[in-house]
Amino acid sequence: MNAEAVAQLVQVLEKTTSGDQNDMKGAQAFLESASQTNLPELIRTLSDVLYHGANSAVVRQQAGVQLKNFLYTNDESLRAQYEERWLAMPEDVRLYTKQNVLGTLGTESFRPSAAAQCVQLIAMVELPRGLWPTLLSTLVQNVTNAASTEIMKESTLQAIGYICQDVEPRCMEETANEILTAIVHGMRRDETSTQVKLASTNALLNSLEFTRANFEKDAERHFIMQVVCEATQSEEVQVKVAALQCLVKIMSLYYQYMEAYMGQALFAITLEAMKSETDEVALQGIEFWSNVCDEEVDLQIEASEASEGGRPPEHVSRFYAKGALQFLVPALMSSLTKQDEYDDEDDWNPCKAAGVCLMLLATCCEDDIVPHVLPFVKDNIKHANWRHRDAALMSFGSILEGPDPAQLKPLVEQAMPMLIELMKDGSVVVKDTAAWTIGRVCELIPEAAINPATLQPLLEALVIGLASEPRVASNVCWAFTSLADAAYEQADCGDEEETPATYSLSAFFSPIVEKLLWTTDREDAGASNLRAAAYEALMEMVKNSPKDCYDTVQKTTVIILQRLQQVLQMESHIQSQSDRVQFNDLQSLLCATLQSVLRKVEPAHAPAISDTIMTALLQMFQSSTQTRSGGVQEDALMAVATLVEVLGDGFIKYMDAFKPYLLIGLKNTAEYQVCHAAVGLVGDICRAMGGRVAQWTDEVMEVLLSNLGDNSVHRTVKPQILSVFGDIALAVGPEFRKYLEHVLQTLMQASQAQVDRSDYDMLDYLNELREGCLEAYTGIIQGLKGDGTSPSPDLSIVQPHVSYIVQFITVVARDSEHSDASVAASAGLIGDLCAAFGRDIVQLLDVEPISDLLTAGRRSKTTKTKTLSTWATKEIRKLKNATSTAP
Amino acid sequence: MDDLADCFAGSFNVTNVPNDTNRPHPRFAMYKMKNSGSNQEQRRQRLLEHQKGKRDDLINHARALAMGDFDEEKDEEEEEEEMDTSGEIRQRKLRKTYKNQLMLSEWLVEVPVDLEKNWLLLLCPEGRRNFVVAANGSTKVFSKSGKQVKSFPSNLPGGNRNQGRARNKYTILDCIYSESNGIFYILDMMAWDGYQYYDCDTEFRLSWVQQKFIENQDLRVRSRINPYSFQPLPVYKCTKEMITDALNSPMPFNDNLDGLLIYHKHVHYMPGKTPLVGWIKGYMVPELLDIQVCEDLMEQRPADYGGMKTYLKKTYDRVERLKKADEDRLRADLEMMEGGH
Repeated sequence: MNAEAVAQLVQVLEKTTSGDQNDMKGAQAFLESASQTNLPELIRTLSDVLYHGANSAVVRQQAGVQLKNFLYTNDESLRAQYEERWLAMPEDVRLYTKQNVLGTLGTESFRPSAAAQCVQLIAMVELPRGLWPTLLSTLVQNVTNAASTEIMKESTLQAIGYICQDVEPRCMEETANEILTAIVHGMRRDETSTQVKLASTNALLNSLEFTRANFEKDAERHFIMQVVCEATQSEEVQVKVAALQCLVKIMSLYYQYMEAYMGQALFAITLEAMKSETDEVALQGIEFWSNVCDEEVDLQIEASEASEGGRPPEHVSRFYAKGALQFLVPALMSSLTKQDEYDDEDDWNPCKAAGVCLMLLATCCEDDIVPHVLPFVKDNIKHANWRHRDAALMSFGSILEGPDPAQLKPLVEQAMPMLIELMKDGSVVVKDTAAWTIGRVCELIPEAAINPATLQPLLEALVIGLASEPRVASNVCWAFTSLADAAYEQADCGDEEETPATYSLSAFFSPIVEKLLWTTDREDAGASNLRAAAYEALMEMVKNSPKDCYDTVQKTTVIILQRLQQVLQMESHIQSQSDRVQFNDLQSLLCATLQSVLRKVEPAHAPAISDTIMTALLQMFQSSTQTRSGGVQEDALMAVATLVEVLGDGFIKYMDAFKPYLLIGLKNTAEYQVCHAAVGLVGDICRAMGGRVAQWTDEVMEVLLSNLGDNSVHRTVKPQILSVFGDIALAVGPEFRKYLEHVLQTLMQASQAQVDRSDYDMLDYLNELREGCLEAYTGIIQGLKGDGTSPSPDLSIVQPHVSYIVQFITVVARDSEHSDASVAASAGLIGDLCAAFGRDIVQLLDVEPISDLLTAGRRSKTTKTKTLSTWATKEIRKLKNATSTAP
Repeated sequence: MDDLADCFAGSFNVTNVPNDTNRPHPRFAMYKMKNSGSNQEQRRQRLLEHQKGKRDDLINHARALAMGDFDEEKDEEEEEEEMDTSGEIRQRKLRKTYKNQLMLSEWLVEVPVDLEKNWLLLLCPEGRRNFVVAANGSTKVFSKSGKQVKSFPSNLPGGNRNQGRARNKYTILDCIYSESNGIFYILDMMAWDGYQYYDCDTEFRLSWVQQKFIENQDLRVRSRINPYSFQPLPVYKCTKEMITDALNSPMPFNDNLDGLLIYHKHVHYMPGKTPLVGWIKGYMVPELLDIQVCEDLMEQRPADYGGMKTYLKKTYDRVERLKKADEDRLRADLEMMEGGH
């Protein structure tokens, strides 16, 4: 130990606690320079400062913090680098440091232990690599040694808990027995220290995942369960809560072993916990049963899958939730009546937990829950106390999903007048829950809402509700969203036409839309996500509007256009970051609304408004490019895509003005969602304008090709780019020749991509990439082939690549994990090859992998895949017949 | 400054404590949960799918696979090929939407000469014509135009989750839905439990439906898992006695009679309109078939009904035109043959 260095470091660390910024900056500069000069030495010295009891508590703690900062970072991208850095330290430094931090355990006078965390962080790096073999036995020894002090046991158990939590379970399984012994030792009834009990209970919680072997042995399991159940009876709330958390987790991990404990202990323990006056305890009691519901729903699914497969299920549900309903429901109802009047919306409390638990019970127990809940609803819905009215509503709303809708429908119909009435309640909380419940009805049992007997009063109450407090109004918006959708579905009574002439909301459509527009403009629409909710409702209303509401759609279009223009003028008033966020959100919402109205506008009316739209969008591109608001750009690009679709080749007059922003979007690889939207839009433009797009494609192709080759470009964009090559080729036809060599080269590379097959995301990506290649080939072949019946001479350029293309299709065909979409795209391309190259190609295609692929494709569940595979099969057969009958 | 303070944080904050009861609860988002459908991510997904669909349309157009084109032109070809296909289930006309999936009738304005021998009668109750698909653990109902109008569990093979989600378990039916009774009356069966019957004779399909319902009585009964009743409709032979009897007895359903569907025995199930399924109203029966029907049915006549010829003028005109064209073609053929001699 270098005394001088230690003294200097102590001095520096002491200053960090002065609270003086200059001191802190000075200390930081010192540490930084020391770490750069000689990091191993600094780490060694920090561990010395931590270890030596003579140093003050703050200095030791600070030394621990600094040590920790060299071992671990919150920045995930740097974590591997930190690990490497530690592993690269000279072995003696690592050994020395480890000895110090282990030795510090039990000597600290502060909580939580700094040493415990340093032990954990080093263990995270070293245990998986087998570099610290003595660690766990040392820790176990610390706990079980009768001579160990309380603080030694506590900090060691903390270290064990941290390790169990963060080190991969497979590294721990071997020592599971020892660890469990230490933990259970700390949880014994005769352990007198609360702190030790708490630390060991927390450690147990973290160890549950790798102690499966112990849970499988009856005797060991009995012992663990006994210790945990005893701990739930602790007088100390923290220990009690931790022990209950253990039960929650044990229930999901070891459900199938719980039968023996359920009736005897767990049921009583958790029900008592649910009724506790202490929120944290009650929350765990409720969570236990929420967890049981999750588990039993999964088991029911497993059971049905097993019976489908004609085999017995591996695990079976014991239907604990169903069996306990009569006890659980009253306890939950009681929690439901304990609302905070001035609820901080982010607080999690027993009242909210009870609401969620009830929903889960309804999903799990289905019809059985209804008779348990209904009496409470009836008795309380008109209660003088708002808490009871709210609880009644909440429980009614919570059981709307799960039980049979046919059974619920008459109940809901009966309740509707009451729900409407409660929208006018004096309590905001009650109004909020009433609006939410109505929203649930509209979503889940819309027939009860659209019922002629209730529709008009309901809509009136909802429209009035839009002027209520933001949280109430936000729920009302959601109700309109579901209602619009349901009414539109109902409207179609087998009519051949796409858009129904009228529907049940027609008479009210205009006032609803008007009030929604008003709501989006409310001063307080920033609260409770109201503005977004109101715009979403507006979009749904417009999207689901029948013919006789077209007038209102037109008027709305005009208003949205005005707002687009106004919003751009607001930019100069932006003062703060939060103003900016609101401004951006508003632009995004307006763009989205614009899309929904544009899709409804009759094609003949589109040209009249397109100038205004495009002017506003161009301005939006200009300002959002300057402020780098990717979200806005993305929504604006999507709005342009809709406009392109509506205008068709009429969009051409905007191309010169728009092209710079299209290119900016294509080059915005940092915000890949923007790039993605721009690439998709290129495809739309090609489809709308056909060959006339040729004058712009040079620049576009250049950016697309460079994006493909750029490793920093997000991978989700790349398959899309490949597909768009196909779109461009199809649009420009033989003009595509000039890009062909480069593109075919690129496709060859892309089609040979390999990925980590254990990663499902990467497998999906591989399939998308291949699909992109197949679509590109399709576009190229169809584009070069032209419309003529005889093959175009341009195809001869592709001819040399045909055998590669077929080989690629074979690779896709042979891949056991190919997607249905890639089968469809392969089949399409096979048919295209037949059509383009005629009998020259039939020998190449008449091979087993390809015929297997087409056979599988014809049996696909997806119509598209089926149709294309059938078609391709026929194309091959046609050529074969022609070949065989040829002279 | 925040960074600086973090760097010298006074105490340890354990980096990641999943058990911390003070952290936002994982179930928090479920409280008063709203399923919203229009955030940016969903808008993005929808647009992507839309673009993909457009691309498919375009390239399939080039393949002459665009809707209609493929179906009509290639169908004849398929009929011919039928001989040599190897028992493999062949999919016809299942397009990517549920639109126009039903086989629709034409007005029956002339009595087929082989009515008694080759045709079957179904009495059709008032209600909505629906396309019912039970698959993947749920039963979905679509209108003629392909809009989904209902989704529920049912005891149809493939129709509820408890049966599991095997791919090959599905059922497709052509139904009349009676709103007032909550009953789906089955007109036709295109697939049952993974087997397709599109290419079977009507006679077989309709008798097979009856058989299926003898085997599966639970389809008739409303229950939690089967909230609507499914019922087959009786099939009658088209003899004068049978028709007379059927139309003068109580209807086999509680709804009013909407009309009579007359199927050619050997027609395969083909989505779209076909002259091999005929449709007449009950009150037209005396006029067309010379069979008396009960007074209830006659009362359904529209106030201004002036007989089939005026009521269905357009249809008659079209039939006339077609006949004339046929005759013209025949005459031209004859002339050609004579000229050739």
